[in-house]
Amino acid sequence: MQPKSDYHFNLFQPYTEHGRKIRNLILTILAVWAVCVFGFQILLKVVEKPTPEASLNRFEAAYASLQAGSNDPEIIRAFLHSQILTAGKNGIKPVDRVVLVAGINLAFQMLVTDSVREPIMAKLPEMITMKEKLAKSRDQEYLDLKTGISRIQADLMTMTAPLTGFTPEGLEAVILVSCLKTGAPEGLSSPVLESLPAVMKLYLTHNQSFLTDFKFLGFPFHYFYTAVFLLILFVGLCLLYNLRLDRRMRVEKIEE
Amino acid sequence: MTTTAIILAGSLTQLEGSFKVGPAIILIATLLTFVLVGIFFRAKDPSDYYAAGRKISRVGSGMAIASNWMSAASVLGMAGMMYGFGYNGLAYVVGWTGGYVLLLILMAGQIRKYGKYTAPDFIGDRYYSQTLRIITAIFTILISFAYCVGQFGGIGLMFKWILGMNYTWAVIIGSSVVLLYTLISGMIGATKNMQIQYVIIVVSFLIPTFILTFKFDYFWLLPPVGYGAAVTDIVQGIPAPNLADGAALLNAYGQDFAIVPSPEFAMPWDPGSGTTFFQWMAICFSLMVGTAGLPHVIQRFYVVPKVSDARWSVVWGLFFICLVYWCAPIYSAFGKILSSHPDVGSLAKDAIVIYTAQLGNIHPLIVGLLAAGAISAAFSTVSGLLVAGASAFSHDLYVKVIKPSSTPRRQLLVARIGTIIMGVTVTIVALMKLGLIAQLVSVAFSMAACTIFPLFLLGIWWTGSNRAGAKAGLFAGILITAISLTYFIVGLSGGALPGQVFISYWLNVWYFAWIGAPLSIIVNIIVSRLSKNPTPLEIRKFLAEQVHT
Repeated sequence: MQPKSDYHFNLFQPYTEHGRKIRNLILTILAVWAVCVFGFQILLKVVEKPTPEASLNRFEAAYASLQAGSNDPEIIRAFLHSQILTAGKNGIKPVDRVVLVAGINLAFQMLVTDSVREPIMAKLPEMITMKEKLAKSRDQEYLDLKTGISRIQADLMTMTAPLTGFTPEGLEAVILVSCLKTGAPEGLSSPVLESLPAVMKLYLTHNQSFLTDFKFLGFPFHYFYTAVFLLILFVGLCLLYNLRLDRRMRVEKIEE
Repeated sequence: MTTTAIILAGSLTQLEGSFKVGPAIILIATLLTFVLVGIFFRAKDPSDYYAAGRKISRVGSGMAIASNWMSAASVLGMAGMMYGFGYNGLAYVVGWTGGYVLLLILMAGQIRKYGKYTAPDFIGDRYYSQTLRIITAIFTILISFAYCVGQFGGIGLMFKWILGMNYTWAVIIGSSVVLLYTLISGMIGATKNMQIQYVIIVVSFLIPTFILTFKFDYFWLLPPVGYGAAVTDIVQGIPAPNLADGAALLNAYGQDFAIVPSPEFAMPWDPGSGTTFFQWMAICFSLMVGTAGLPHVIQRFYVVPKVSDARWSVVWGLFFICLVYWCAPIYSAFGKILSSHPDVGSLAKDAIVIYTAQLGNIHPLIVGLLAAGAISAAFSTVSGLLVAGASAFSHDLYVKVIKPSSTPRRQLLVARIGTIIMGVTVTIVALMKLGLIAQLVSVAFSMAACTIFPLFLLGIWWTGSNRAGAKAGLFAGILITAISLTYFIVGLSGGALPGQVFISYWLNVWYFAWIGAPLSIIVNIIVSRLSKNPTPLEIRKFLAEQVHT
């Protein structure tokens, strides 16, 4: 094929045989690239199913029972534990954290007797004050405050463990202590806690499918595909393009 | 809490606040090296300043591409996005690497064959239009400017962390140093520095990943694969205490290596993260297309001796980039676990890489090296951006438009004045802290995707694209850019324009190129076809015989 005299051409309509082969190579690579990147994400979207965490099911059952007037400690513990598992996530929006903290305090107050509540509540103001100072402190003062907070937390965790059933040094106990507040808790039907079921549903429901559940080299498969494989593919496509182009130039004896 | 944990809590160092001697020495030594290299390889004429005298090898150019590319957004911002937004953060990883495939197969070799120094040079020549040259020169400056803002923010964060000074002074000092050596060296010194900077970035970034995976009992011989089990652990939760060989795994605060089940870290477009499928696709697409339109990236292809070198330098560059990008999620994964204790709380996203290394109780000197690596990343990118911006100012505006008869000495002076003006202005904007590093950088990508990319793509691959089409297409791209930026600025100032929520979502300033780039291309094609003045024969002939043979 010879060049036309008007020199008009485009990617899809090259004017030489060499151009036609390059076009095929480019379009093939572009197609693989697009399907592998965007096609996979579309597939992920198509097959996904909103899947609740186990703790959401526990929460919903406990919440319904409590609304019906139940005082069963096991139900209250389930109510508390499911909220603790949500509050422990560190991507919670501040406005939603307020709701969760209110829910946790309500559940905790429902579990404890007055004789236990008073010594726990007596320790809280000191810890809260120390935490406020911590943000502005430096060097030795910072270390002293940190150690002081750790001591109070350890005491509180030991005191609350028998009531909640949490391991005294476990993460759930730490999260509980960090959420405790002084003062009377909000009621289950209060405006603050009205949105609790919606907040729990928001943070405990995830888009899952066989692509996310299947494990590959320890990864959830979709995560491996996107974070590791696609990058390998990109390098591979670039390598392939250059090798094919160099070969074509050698075959056609084209020199730069 | 055990006594051991209390003792450990009493001996830890703060994540922020104090002057760190070891990291400061490493930082100063690194900066001195940059300046000395800049002086030793300084530019002697405009050719050296703009295009490094075309003396750079394939691997060297690949390292320079990688270093030039990997900014504070890559080293600091990307892990921060994954830490904060889970799977949606991966859109940045894929977007910033996948764009190189487009760049290679559609542009790299052809740009080198065309033989111009700068992006506005190419556009002004290809579309035989002084107006387009001026507009794209202005946009080259704006794109470089937007990109630099995020970098200066990253430099400020790291200087603040190392020197224990406030953010304002940290940004001012960091900006002054990067300006100094860019002025002294130009592109040739910058290119040599970029190779050194790449080595610092990759070494400093990879070492902590081996240590973290080893320390917390994951497969450490290949961290980019080894952390997969950590991702699964985050999804399923790690109950405390986590025991290994009878001893609990602890973070630097003496807290258990434990986390509540957190599928939101890995599951796609998780409702709790406030991100959507559309945003993933839009960010990824915008970054990919923007990659192929960034003036300072395109400009790197002018510095290699041959066309095949331009192509192969992309492959090397992408491979070098991927070495770091494969490892970036490791920091977000370990950061997620190590900061899961309520006392640590949610950490500043842009500093998560450094915080993770600290929380993982890695030796302070290695953390200091990591911070120096982050600064190197920002420096290398900033120097490339400043050169691209200064080139647009001096070469495309001053020499080609304002004073064509200027001497080489005068050109160099104007380039340096342009660099200073840009550096000072960027510093002022960076002090405003307008967003996360990766997000600020995304603005530059979307701008490039809407303005420069369509002109290059059609200019190289379609002789039918003419001046009228190019102007109309560019106008469409600029219009989308202006709408998005206007709504963003109004939103920032607390105001609301009609359709504020709608525009802020669908034409968000971080990813408006998903519609802006295709629209610009379509408008260019339609107007070119309707126009009665085709591309001149000599340009078509040049494209056919010189660029596509």
